[in-house]
Amino acid sequence: MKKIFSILLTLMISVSFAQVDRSKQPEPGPSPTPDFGKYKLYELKNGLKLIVVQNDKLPRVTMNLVIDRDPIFEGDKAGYVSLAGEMLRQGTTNLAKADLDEKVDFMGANIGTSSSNVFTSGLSKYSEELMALLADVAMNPAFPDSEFEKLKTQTISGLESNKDNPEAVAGQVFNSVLFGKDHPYGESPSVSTVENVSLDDCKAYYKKYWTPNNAYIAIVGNIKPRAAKKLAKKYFGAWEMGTKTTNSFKAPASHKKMEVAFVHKESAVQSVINLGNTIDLKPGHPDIIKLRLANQILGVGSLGRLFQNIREDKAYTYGAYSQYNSDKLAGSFSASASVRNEVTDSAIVEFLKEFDRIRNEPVTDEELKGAKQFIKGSFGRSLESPQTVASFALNIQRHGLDEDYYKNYLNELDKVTKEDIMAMAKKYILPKNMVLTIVGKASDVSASLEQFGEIKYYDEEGNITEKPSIPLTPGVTAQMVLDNYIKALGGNENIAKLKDLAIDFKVTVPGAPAGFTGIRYKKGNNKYKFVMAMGEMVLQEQIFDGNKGFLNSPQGSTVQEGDEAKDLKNSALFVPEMDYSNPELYTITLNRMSMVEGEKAFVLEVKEKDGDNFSVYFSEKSGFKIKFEQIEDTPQGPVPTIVLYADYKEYMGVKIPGTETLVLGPQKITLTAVNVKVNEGISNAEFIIK
Amino acid sequence: MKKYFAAALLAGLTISLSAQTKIKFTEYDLENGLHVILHEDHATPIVTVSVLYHVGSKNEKEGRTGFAHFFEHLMFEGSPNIDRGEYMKIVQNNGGQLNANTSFDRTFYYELLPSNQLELGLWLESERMLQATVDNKGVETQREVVKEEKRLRIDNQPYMSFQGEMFSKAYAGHPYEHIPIGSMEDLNAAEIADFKDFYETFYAPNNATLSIAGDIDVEQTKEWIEMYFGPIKKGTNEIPRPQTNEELLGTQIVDTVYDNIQLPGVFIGYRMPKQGTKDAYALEMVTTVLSRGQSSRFYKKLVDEDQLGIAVQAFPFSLENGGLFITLGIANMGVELDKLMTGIDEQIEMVRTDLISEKEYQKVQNQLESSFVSSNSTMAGIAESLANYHVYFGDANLINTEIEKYREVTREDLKRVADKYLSKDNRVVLYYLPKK
Repeated sequence: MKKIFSILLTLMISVSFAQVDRSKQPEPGPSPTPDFGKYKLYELKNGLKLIVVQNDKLPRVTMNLVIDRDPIFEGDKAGYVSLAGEMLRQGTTNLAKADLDEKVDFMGANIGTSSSNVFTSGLSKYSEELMALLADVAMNPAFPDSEFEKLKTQTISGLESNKDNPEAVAGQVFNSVLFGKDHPYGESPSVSTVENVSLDDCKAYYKKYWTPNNAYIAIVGNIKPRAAKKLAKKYFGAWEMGTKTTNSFKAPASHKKMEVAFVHKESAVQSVINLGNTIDLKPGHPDIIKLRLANQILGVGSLGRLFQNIREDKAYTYGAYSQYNSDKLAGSFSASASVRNEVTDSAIVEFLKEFDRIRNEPVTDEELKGAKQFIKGSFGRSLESPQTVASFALNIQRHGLDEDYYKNYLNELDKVTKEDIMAMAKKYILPKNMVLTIVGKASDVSASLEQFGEIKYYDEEGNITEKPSIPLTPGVTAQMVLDNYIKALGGNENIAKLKDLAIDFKVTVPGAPAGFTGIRYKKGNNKYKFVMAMGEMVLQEQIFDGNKGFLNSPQGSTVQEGDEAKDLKNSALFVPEMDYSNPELYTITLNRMSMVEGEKAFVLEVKEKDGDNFSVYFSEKSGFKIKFEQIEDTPQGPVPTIVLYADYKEYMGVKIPGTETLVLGPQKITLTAVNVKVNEGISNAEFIIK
Repeated sequence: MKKYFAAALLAGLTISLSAQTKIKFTEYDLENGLHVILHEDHATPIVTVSVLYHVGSKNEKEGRTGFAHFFEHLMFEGSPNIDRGEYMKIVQNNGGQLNANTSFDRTFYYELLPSNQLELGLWLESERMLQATVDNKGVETQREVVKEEKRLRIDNQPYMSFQGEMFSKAYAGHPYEHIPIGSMEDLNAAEIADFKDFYETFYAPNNATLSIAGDIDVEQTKEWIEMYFGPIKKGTNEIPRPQTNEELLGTQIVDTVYDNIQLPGVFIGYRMPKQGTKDAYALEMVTTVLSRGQSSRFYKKLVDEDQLGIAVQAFPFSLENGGLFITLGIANMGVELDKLMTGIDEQIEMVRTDLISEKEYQKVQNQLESSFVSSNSTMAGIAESLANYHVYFGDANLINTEIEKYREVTREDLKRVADKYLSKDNRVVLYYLPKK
C-alpha cells in the first residue's frame, strides 16, 4: 500500500512536471546581490593616483590614464585641445609614429589618445610593455610638425563633412544656444578657428594640464595591485609635478522663455528636433537617482513615454528619447527625435505634452516598478565588466563621492516614490526655459513653428543668420503675378459679371466656445458690410455705403468720412488687387519669394499712395493670393497682422477662398465660408448706416 | 633598447594560454531534438538565455526572400500567453534586455536577465518555439517596421547598397545571391500560409540550439528546460539545407554604382571557401596582414604614407557554405579612384607573390591570440559562440581550441591562398561614384 502510494506520488510529480502552467509568467527567484568588486587606490610621490581592479578571468589588462582638469574655453582657436589629444598618438621622442604602431600591433594590443586620456589594452603578459608605452606616450610626446599639418587638414575636412550631418549640426547648435557661445560647453570648433591653431598651442595645452598631479591611471585585469603599482612607479616615477590650473566660469544664463532656433537644410527630409534646458545638478547630488527614474519613465528606450507616444502611437519617428546630464559646471536636460518634415510641429507638441504630464500627474505604480527593475537590471549587467568597477572608483575620487555611493545606489533607488518623480520633473524639466532647435527644411517646416516662439535662424556653426530666402523665379514681374492671379480667379470677364456677393461664415477661435458667426456682403463694387455675432449679440459691424464708413462694436460706434473711410472703401471692391496696377494709387515691387504653409509664393510689396505698406503673397503654383501681411509699429515693437487664404472654390465662374485665417500673435481666428451667394440680389437697405 | 624590447616580446610568447581559464560547458539533446548547451559562471548574477535557429536567408525559397529576417521581427509579436507588444515589455520591466539578429545562415535570439529571472527567459523562449503568434495583424505591422529598417540601415546610408550589389554578382544563382533584408516585393507578396509553413519547418526544436551562460544551477536549469521545452513536438517537415559549390568565380565582374556620397569608393569581393576550412582561416589571416592596426600594410602605405584613401580595409565575410574576402577603399579628397584601386591591387599582388616576413607572421598570430582571448569576455558572447561552434562545426569546444587552427597555418599557406583566391578572375569590383 505504502509502495503504491509512493508510486502514485512520483507519478503525480512527473505529471505536474510535464504540465507547466504556461499561461502564467514565472515568478522570479530571490533577488541576487551584485558584487561590486574591489579596487586598490595608490598615490605616487608626484601626485599620480592609481586605481587597480584585479580580475583574473581573462589574461588581459587595460590601462587608462585620465587627466582630471576643469573645462577650457578655447575661443577663436577652438579645436586646439582635441588636436593636442590626437597629436599624442603621433609618436614620442623615443619612438616615431611608425615604430609605435609596429610595437602596439606586434603585441596585438591597442593604444588610443584624446585631449584628456591615453588608453591601452592587451594581453596581460605584456603588462610591463604596455605600461612603458603608456608612460612614453603620456610623458614624451614628440609633436611632429609633419603630422600636425596632416591632422589639421583631416580635422577641417571632418568639420566640412559634419555640416552634411544633421545630427552633428543639431548637437552643436543646440549647445551653442543653450549654454551660449561664450561658454566652454557652448563653443565648438569651426574651419576658421581650427585654421588659427598652431602646434605651439597644442604643446602649451599639453604642458599646462598633463602633469602627474592632475592624473589618474585606472588599471584593470589580470594583474596584482602591488605589481601594477611597482610598474607605475618604475615608468611614471620620473614624471615631474606641475601646478594645478583651475578655470572657473559663470553658470550659463537661463532662458526666460522658449528660444526657437532653426538651421535650414535644403535637402532635409527629416527635422532633427532637440529641446531642453540647463540644470544645476552636480555629480553625487541626492536628486540624481530620483531624476534618473523620472527620465527613465519619460524617455529611455522603447518603453519610455516619448517612444510609446511619438513612435508607437503617432508613428512620427523611428525613436524619441530624453536624457539628463549632471555636471560640476553646468548640467542639462534634453529630449530629441528625428521626424518627417510635415509632422515637425505636431511632434514638438507631443514632447511638450509629455513634459507637462510628467510634471503634473503622478506616474503609475507599474511604471515606477518597471523603471526601477530596468535600472537595477542594467546596473547589474554593467558589473559584468571589470571596467565598471574602475569607473565607479574613478568617479568616487574625482567627484568626492561617498565611498559607498554605488553600493547604496540600489537601496536609494528602491526608496524613490511617485511624489519624488513629480518633484524632480518640476524641478529639472522646464518647458518655459527651454531651447528648441530644429535642423530641417525651413520652407516646409518653419511657418508652423511660430506657435512655439519667435524663430531665430542659425547657420551650421551656430551663428545667427538671415531667414533663408528662396531665389526669385527668373523673368517674373509684379504685373505678371497680378495678371496670373486675375486669371486664376476666373479672368476679367467673369469678375466683371459680379453684381453682388454674400457669404455666411462660421468663425472659430481656438479656446473660445463655438457659436460665432459672420456675414460679409459686397455690392456693385462700392458697398460693403461685415458683421460678426455670437447668437443674437453683434460683436462687430462694419459698413461702407458708397460714401461713408461705419464701425460698430460693444465699445461704441464711429462714422468715417472721406479718406478716413479708405480701408472700408477698398473692402467693398470685389477684387481690390485689380487696382494695384494703377500707378496713381499704388507702387508695387516684386523682389523675393517666400514659403506660406509649405507653398512657394511671390511676395508683392504694395505701397499705397500716401498710405500704408503691406505684402501680398501669391502662390506660384495656383496663382491665388494666399497671404496678406501688414506690420504695424507699436510701442511694444512691430506687430504683424496676417491673413491666410485657402480652399478656393468657384461660384459663377469666380473663385472665392473657403477659409480666411486671421493670425494675431499666438491667436488665430478662422472664418470658414458655409454659404456663398453670387448675384442673388442684396437689398440696398443692408448698407444703410443708421 | 629597441632590440631588447622585441626580444622581450618574443619571449612573452612562450608563455602559453594556460593562464586563461578554460570555458567549461555541458551539452545534451532533448528527445525532441533540441540541443542544449549550459555554461555556469557565478561571477556576476546575470544569465544569458539564447536560442539559435539554423535558418537564414540562404534557406529562403525563390520569391520569398527576406523571410528569415522578417521572422526575427514576427517572433516578438507574442503567443497565446503573451499579448502583442508585451514580449519586450516583460523582459525590460524585469530588468532584462533582449534582441535578435539574422544572417545568411542562422537566426539568433537572446535575453540578458538578472539570474533570478532564468525561468522567465526559458518561458519566453519556449513560447516562441511552441506557439508564436503568426497572424495577419502581426505580419502587417512588422512589414512596415522592416521597411523602415531597410530605409534607415541600407537605403539612407552611403555605400551600404554594396552588400546587395556584391552578393547578387558574386553569388548569382546561389542561395547567397540575396542578402538577409530581402526584397520588399517578396514580403508584400507573401501570404499567411507561407509564414505558417516557414514557422513549422524552421522553428522546430530539432532545428534549434538553446545556449545558456551565466549564474545558473545546472541541475535546476535542466529541470526547467525539460518543463518548458520538453513538451514541444519535433518538427515533421524536412529541413532544406542548400549547398553551394565553392568554385572560383572564373571571371572578373566590374560594375559602377551611383550613390548619395561625397567621396568615391571601391568595393572588391573575392570568393572564399566555406568557413572552418584551412584556406578560410588562412584568408582571414591575410586580411589581418593587410588591414589590422596602424602598422598594417593598407593603413601604413595607402592611408598614412600615400594618403590615397581615408579608409582602406579588408575583412573576411565567412559563411557556412562559402564567403567573400572583401576589400574596400574610400578615396581621399581629390584622389582619382583609379589611383586608389591601383594602390590596393599592388598590395594584393604583394601578398600573392611574396612570403610575409617572420616578424609580420608573428604579429598576426599575436593579434589573433589577443582577439581570441577577448572574444569570451561576456556571458552573451560565450552563449553565442558556443551555439555557433556547435551548429556550424558540430564542436562547441572550438571555443577553447579554435586558436590552434590559426597556429597551424604557415607563411607558405598565406601566400598559397592569396595566390589562389585573390586573383582578378575570382572577384567582383564595384566602383561607387557620387550621383551628379
